[in-house]
Amino acid sequence: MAQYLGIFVMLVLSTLFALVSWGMSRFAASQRPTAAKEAPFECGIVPAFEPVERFPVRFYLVAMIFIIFDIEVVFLYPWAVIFHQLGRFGLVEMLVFALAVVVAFAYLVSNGALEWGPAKRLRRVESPLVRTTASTVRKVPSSERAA
Amino acid sequence: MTTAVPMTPRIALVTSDPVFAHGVDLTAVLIVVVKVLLAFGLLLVSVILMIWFERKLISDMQNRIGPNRAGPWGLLQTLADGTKLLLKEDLLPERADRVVYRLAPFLAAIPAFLIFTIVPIGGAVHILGHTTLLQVADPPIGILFLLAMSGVGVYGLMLAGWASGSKYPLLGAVRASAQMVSYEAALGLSVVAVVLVTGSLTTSGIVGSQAPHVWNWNVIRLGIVPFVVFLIAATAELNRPPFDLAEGDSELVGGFHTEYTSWLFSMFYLAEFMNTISWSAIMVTLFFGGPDGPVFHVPVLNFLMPIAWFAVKTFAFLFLYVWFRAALPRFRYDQLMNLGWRYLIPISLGWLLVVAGFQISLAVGAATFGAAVLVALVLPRAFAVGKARHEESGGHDFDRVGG
Amino acid sequence: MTPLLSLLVAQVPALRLPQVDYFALLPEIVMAGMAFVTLGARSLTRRGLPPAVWTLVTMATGLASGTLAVLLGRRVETHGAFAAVDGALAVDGFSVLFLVLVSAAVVLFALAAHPWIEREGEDGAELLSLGMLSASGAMFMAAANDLLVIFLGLEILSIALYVLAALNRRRAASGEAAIKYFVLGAFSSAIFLYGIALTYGATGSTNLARIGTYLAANVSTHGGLLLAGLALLLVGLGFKVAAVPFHTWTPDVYQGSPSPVTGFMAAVAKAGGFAALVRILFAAMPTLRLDWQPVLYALAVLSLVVGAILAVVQRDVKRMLAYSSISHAGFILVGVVAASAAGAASVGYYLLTYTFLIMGSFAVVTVVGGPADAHQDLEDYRGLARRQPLLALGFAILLVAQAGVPFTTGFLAKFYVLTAVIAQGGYVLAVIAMLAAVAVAFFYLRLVLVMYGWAGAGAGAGAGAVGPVGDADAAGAGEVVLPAGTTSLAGVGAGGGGEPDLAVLGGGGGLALATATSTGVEQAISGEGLVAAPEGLAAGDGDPVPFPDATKVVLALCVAFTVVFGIWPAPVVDFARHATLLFGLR
Repeated sequence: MAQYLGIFVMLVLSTLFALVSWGMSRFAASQRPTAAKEAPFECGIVPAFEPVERFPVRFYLVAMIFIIFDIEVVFLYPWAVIFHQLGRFGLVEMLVFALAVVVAFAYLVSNGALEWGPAKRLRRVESPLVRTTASTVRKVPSSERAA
Repeated sequence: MTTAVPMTPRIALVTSDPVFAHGVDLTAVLIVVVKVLLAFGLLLVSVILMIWFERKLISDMQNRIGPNRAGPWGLLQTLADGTKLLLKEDLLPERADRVVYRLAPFLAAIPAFLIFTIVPIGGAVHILGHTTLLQVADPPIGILFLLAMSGVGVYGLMLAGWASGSKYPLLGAVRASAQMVSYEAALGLSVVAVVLVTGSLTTSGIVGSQAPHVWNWNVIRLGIVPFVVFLIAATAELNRPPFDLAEGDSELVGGFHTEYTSWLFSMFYLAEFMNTISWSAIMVTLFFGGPDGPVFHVPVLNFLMPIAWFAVKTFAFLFLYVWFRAALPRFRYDQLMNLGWRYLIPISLGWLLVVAGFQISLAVGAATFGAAVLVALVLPRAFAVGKARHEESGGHDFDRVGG
Repeated sequence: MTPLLSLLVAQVPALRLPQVDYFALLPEIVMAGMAFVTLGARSLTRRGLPPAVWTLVTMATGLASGTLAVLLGRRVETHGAFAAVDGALAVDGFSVLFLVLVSAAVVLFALAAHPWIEREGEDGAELLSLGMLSASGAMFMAAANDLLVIFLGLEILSIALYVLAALNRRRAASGEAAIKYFVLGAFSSAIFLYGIALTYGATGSTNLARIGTYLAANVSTHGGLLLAGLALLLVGLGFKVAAVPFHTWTPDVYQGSPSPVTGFMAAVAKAGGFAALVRILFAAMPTLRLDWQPVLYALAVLSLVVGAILAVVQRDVKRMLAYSSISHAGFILVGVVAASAAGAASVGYYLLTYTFLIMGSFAVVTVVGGPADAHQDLEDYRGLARRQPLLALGFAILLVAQAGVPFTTGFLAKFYVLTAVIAQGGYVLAVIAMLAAVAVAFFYLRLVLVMYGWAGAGAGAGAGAVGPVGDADAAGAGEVVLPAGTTSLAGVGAGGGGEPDLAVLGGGGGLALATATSTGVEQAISGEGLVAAPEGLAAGDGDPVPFPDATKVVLALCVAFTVVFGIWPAPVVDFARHATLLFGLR
C-alpha cells in the first residue's frame, strides 16, 4: 500500500488547499446577500417557472446503454493485463463476449435508442401555391415608395 | 538512444516506485512528501501559465491583443483574476441545496489534483540513497485510478448543476453527465489497447514498454486509431471545446456553474485547467512514450533531459487544445451523441480486438480484422433500421424504447 | 539489466487455463447463440420477418439443444458422469434431464406464444430470443456444479424473465408485474449471492463437489456462518421457485405477464430453481441434512396449504394457476425433503411432467384471453366446451391431470413424490400433501365444470337470465344443484368470497380419504359455481374463441405427453430414475 502514499498525501494537501483558500475567501470577501442576488439566474428577470423535474427518458437510456459498455470495459481490463498468457483462448472468449455486446448494441440502435429529438418527417406542402421569390416577395411599385 | 526506464515490451511488468524497495522509512516518506509538494506547486504554476497562455494564444488567433496589463506580457493576469475572485461575495442561491452546492466544487477540484499524481514526468533519480521515479505515486492500478478519478470528477459537475436549484445549471449538468458517460466507454476502450500490449496497469510500466524507439510508442505501435479516439474522448471528458456543451455559454449562460460565484466558481475553473494539463500529460504517457526521447549526455543534469521531453510533448497537446477552442465550433447535442456512440465506441472496440489478434499472430490478426470489417459492414444497417423505425413512430408518440 | 530493472520486473505466476469441453456445453451454447442470432437478425431487418419464422427458429433451437442433451446423456451412460470446464459444470443424468426439460419448454413456448405474437402484432423476435436466453440460464443452473455458475444462470434466467414479463406493452398490469418481479427478484438474487459469500467463507470453495468433500471431511468451525449461508441460499432459491413464504410476487406477476410467458416462467424458473436447490442440498450439503430438512419441511407444508387455500378463492384463472403453481412447488419440495435418490428422481419427474401441464394450460389461457390478455376471469371460460370443444377438452385433461387424476402424469408425479417421502418416514407430510391436493383439485374441477357449462347452466336458470344454453344434460345438472345455489346466493350476495372457501375446506376435508375425483366433490363444486355466476351473467356465452394451429399442436403435444405417459409411465419414469442414479447419491 505504500505506493498509494503519494496519492494520499496529495489528497490531504489538495483538500487543505481547497478548504483554506475557500475559508480565506469567506473571511476576506464581504458577505451582503440580498434577495436579488440570491434569486436563481434568469437573465435579470424574476423566474416564472420552477426548474424542470422530469427529463426525456432518452437521457436515462443513455445511462443504461452506458452500463452495457462499461461492463464490457470492466471485463476487458483484467483480460488485457493477462492477455499474453491467455493467448488464442483469451482472444476467442473475448470475441464471443464482444459479439454479444455488439448484438445487444445493434438491437438497441435498431430500436431507435440513439435517435435524438423528434423525427424529421418530410411532408409535401399541401398548399397549391408554388412558393417562389416572385410569389412571396411583393414588388412595391415605384409610385408607392416613400420619397 | 538511452531512456529513462528501459524496459522491453512483452514482459509482465509489475512495476512500482522503488523508493519503498527497502521498506517504508522516514527518508522514503520525506521523498514522497517532497515530490507531492513539487507536483502541487508545478500544477498550480502550470495552471496560472496555462490560463494566460490560452487567452493570449486565442487572442493571437483571433487578431486581438489579449491580456497585457498585469505583469510583463500580461503574465500575471491570472493571479489578478484569482485575487479578484477570492474577494468576491460567496452567494448561496435561494433554492440551492446548501451542503451539496458547496461540496460540488471540491469534488471537481480534488480529483483534478489527484490525477496528476500518477503521471511520470521523468526517469528515475537517485536521492539520499534512494532510487525514485519522478512521479508522485505509482500504484499498481494506475490506469484504473485515472478512470476512477475522472469518474468522480463528473460528480462535481452533476451535483453542482443539480444543487443550484436553477434551470440552466440543471440542463448543463444533465448534458454533462450524458456526455461524459457517452465518451467514458470509448475512452476506456482505447486505453485497454494500451494495457493489452503493455500487460500492466501502471503508468511507469506503460512508459517503460514504449522505450527505447520512437516506433515503439503506442501511437505508432497500436496504429493511430486508439490515440485519435482517446484524444477525442478526453476532450469530451474535459468539457473543452468543441465538446463544451455542459457550459454552452450561448445556450445555457454558464451551464453547470451558472450560479457559482467567488472562490467556489474559481475552483471549477481551476479544476478544468488542471484537468486539461493532466490529460495532456496522460496522453503523452499512454501514447507518446512519456519522458522517452533521445538523450544527450550532459553531466549532472542528465536527469533533466527526459523531463524536457515530457514538457515539450505535453505543451504540444496544450497548444492543440487551445487551437481546438479557437478553430472548432461547438457540437450540436445529437452530433455529439452520434459521434460517441456510433463511431468512437464501435471503432475502438473493433480496433482493440484486431490489435489483440495481431498480438497473437499475423494470421489470427488478419482473421480478426476480417471479422471486424464484417461487423462494420453490418452495423450501419442497424443504424438505418433504427432511424427508419424512429421516423415511423414520429419520435414522440408510441415509442418502442422510450415508452 | 540494471539493478533498478530487476526491482521493477517480476514475473507473474503462470496462468492455468481451463480445459473447455465444448461438447458438454453445446446445448447451452446452441440455446444462447440462437437467441443472439435471432436478436441480431431482428436488428437488421426493417419490417421484421414474419412471426412464423421466429417461431420455427425457436422450435428448431429447442429441438436441437434437446437432441444434443440426449446425445450428452448417451455419453454419460457410456462414460459416466463427469465435470467439465474445470469442475464448473456437472454433466450427469440429472443435468441431462433438466436440459431436455428446458429444451422441451422452449419448443412448447414457441408454439404457445405464436398465437399471442400474431394477435398482439408483435414481431416475436424479442419475445422468443428472450425466451431462449432465459432458457439457457435455466440450463446453466441445472448443469452448474459451482455456486457462482448457479448464480450466473440464475441471473441470465431471471433478467430475461423480468423483461419478458413486461413485454405486453399495452397492459399496465404487465409493466407492474415486471417491476414487482424485478424488484423482488433482484433482492432475492442479492440474498442468494450473499449466501454464496457466506458459504464460501465457511467452506473455502464455491465448487459444490469441493464443498461436499470439505463438509464430509471436516467439522466446520464456522457452523453459524455455514448455516447462515445455507439459509440465505434457501431464501434466494425459495423465491425463484415461489415457495411460501417467498411467494408473494407470484400471483401478480403471473396475472400481469403475457400468458405464454407466464407458462414459460412457471415451467423454466421452477425447473432451474429446483435443479439448483437439489444440487446444492444433495451434492454439496448432504451432511447438513438435519439442518435443512426441517426448514424445507416447513416450506413444503406452507406452500401446500397456502397455495391450495388461496387458489380456491381465486376468480382470475391466471391467479388461480399462480397459486396452484405455489402448491405444486410445495409438492416438489416434499420430494426434496425426502432427501433420497428417489426424492431427487421424483423432483425431476414432477418438473418434467409439470412443464407439459403448465405450458399446455397457458397455451389455452393465451387464446381464451383475447386481445391484450384481457379475458382471464372464470366467467370468460363459461361454455368454452361449446365454443371450442377440442380446446376445452384438452384444457380439461390438463387441469384434471394437475389435480392428480389417475392415468395422467400428474397423478404419477404426485404419487412418486409421496412414495419417496413415505419411504423416508414422512407420513404426516404425505397426508398434508394429499389433503392439499384435494383442496386444489377443487378449483381445477370447478374450472372444468364451468367450461362444460354444468355449473353455469344452473346459475343461468336460477337468476332467470337464460342465454342460448346448451344441451339437455347440462340443464339437468343445473336443476339438481339449483336449491343449493340459490341459498348460497342469498347468503353471500354478489361477489362474496369467504363462504365458498369454507365450503371447499369442508368438502375437501370430508373427502380426503376418497380419491380426488369423487362425485361428492363435483357436486360441492357445482353448488360453488353458482356463487360465481352473478358477475358473469352479462357476459353470457362469451366471445368466440379462436383455436390457432399452433395452439392445436402444443395442446396435442401436452395432452399426448400427459395421457400417454400417464398410462405407460415406464420411459419417463426410467429417464428420471436414471438421471439420479448417475447423480451419485446413496
